[in-house]
Amino acid sequence: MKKQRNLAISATFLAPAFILFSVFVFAPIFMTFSYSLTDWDGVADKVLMGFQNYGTMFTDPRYLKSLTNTLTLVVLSILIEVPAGLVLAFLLSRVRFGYKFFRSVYFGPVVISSAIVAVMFSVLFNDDVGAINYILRAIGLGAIAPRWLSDKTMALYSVCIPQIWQSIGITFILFLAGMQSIPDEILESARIDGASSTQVFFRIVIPLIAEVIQMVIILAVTGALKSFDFSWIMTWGGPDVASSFLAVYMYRLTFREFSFGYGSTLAFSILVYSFLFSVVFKRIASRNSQA
Amino acid sequence: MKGKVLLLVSALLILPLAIALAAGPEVRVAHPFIGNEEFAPYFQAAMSAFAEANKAKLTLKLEGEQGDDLRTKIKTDMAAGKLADIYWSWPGGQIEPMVKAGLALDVRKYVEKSKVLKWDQIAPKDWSAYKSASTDGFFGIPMGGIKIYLVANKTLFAKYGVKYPKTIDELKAVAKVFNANGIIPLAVGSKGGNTSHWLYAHLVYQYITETDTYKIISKGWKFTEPVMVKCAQMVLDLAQAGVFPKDTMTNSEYAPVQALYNERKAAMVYGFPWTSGNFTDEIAAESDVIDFPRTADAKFDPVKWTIGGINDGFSINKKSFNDAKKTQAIVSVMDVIMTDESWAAWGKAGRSILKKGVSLPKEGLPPMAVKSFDFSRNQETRQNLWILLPGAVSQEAFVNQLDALWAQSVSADEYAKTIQASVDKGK
Repeated sequence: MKKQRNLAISATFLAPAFILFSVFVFAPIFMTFSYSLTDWDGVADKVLMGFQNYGTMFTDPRYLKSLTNTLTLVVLSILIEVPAGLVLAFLLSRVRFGYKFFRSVYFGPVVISSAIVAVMFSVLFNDDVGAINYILRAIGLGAIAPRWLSDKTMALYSVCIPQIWQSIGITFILFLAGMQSIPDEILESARIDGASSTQVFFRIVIPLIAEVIQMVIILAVTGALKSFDFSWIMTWGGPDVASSFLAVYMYRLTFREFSFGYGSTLAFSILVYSFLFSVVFKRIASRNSQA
Repeated sequence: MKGKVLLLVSALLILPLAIALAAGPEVRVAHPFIGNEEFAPYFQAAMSAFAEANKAKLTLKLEGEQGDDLRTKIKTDMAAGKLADIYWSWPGGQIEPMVKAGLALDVRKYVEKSKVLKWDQIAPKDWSAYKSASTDGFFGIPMGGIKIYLVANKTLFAKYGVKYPKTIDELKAVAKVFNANGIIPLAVGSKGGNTSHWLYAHLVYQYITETDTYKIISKGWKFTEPVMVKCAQMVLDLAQAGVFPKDTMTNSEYAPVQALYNERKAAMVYGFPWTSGNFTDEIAAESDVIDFPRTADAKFDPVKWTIGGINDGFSINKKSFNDAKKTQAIVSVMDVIMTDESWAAWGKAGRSILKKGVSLPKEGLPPMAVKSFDFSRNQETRQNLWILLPGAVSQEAFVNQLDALWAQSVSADEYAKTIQASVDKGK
């Protein structure tokens, strides 16, 4: 009887979260998946296609280009954003003077709207009137001044730069919080034993914030997988799909070409990639930490 | 006590329903007249006054978005089964899905009931823009009639000792001089096909008539025609000659290129009815409207025509109109937009298509609008190519390929073949 009552109480407390989650997360995911199995322009009746859209996706050169671009952003995020945030956090955790000032400066970009950051970088990168190429020309390097946003080989990196620049702030603050949770005694005793800063960093700090590093990597990768703002605002993913990420291509298909069915297939694929990465990475990381 | 509570609860549930029923039907209007849009002040004021005067009969809900955002909103509403009762629309490939889905009314039915608009008050050529390729009828009221124009800064031309280019070769020569002095010769870039698609059409129609273009693209589904490839190659040549901005992505859409021109960083730019008011008075005074340069082997001299015609207008949701409770309300709202006063305000906002019997007062018009009207009065119009493409997929492919073409990241053949592949998909 008591067990049944406990079950009822638990169900009562869980119900609001379950209902909200079902309505706003599970139902849209299910609907997106169901749309992904159709050919639908948003107007006419849906035509059931089975998994044909998934087959089309992997032979669509524009999808493959967007996927490659997204993977490039993932790699750049892991290689630049994570180490930069880690190093900045470590350096700042060791200073006594100007701590609050630098913490605000490094975190500053995070609080600016990404739309504003995108417009700001568009102006800086503008080949005709932008500051960067103006400076390059002024110091005699005009010959190597690139067409940042119009050159198909350059546009991808030009939309990655502001995203990574802005994201460093959030990885920095997460690492800083992680480092501050390391007991002072451990760092103090390492110093007394004569450990150098490099040794403290690699032998003490990194192992002790391994969980934070894992979380930051997951955030960086999933953030890159769903990246949209910078590419859309700066180049609309163009020229053609030269700087398009998966989310941008999905948006273009769904809301500009009105291929709601195929667009949903892409949306679902992004979800699967994010989910798979999170699960696999978490499993590998926890196996390593157990070992 | 229980009875009283029940009564109170029932009253609370029924009251909003009763109020909603008493207020009459809701009429939703999806429109672009917000922000700095020239027609927005008149439209908003007229609609507010109408809503206030008729609040007992109907509830008017205005849903404003501009440009591509409006297009996205309308399509998303449609996918959600919530298309507005009256909506801004674009003819050709954009309105066709609505027609096929039974969501666009043959507007002759509205005109029959209208107290302010008669069928013969709009020219047959303008009505024909909203003729469907698949279904008999006219599915929008043509309002957005435009004539685009090319503007040149005479002060900059005089300063650098060059004359307005009359031919494409002269344009290339002028570009050399301006480039050497850090001035963008012609501020036409390409992001989402803006503002490049106008220039591409300006080249194409020098070789082919509007009727033949319609036959090739809209009826024949053929974009790989030699003329399309030839004009794409011309764009590449112009880009290589430095005619366009170096950053064709950022310096592309209406506002950025206008800003470059207003800042005297560009010597020439396209003018549109909706940008006429954005030329500052000072800049307008030192600007001339000029003819688009002629290609060496042009068959049709662009002196006699420009790109324009019907670009957009209002359509009515057929399902809503057929709902007997809403029909009269929709007619009343449409009649507010179709009054002579409204058309006069529309003309003042820079649009060149007017209801017959409405004259356009020059007072209060932006100086560039006056100059452009005077210049293009006798010019014919050629429909932009984007509208002629059959459906959103090919229209998107077209604008994306224009972006790539302007960025010189695609060959003329690849450009045409990629668009053709999308046209084939839409067959």
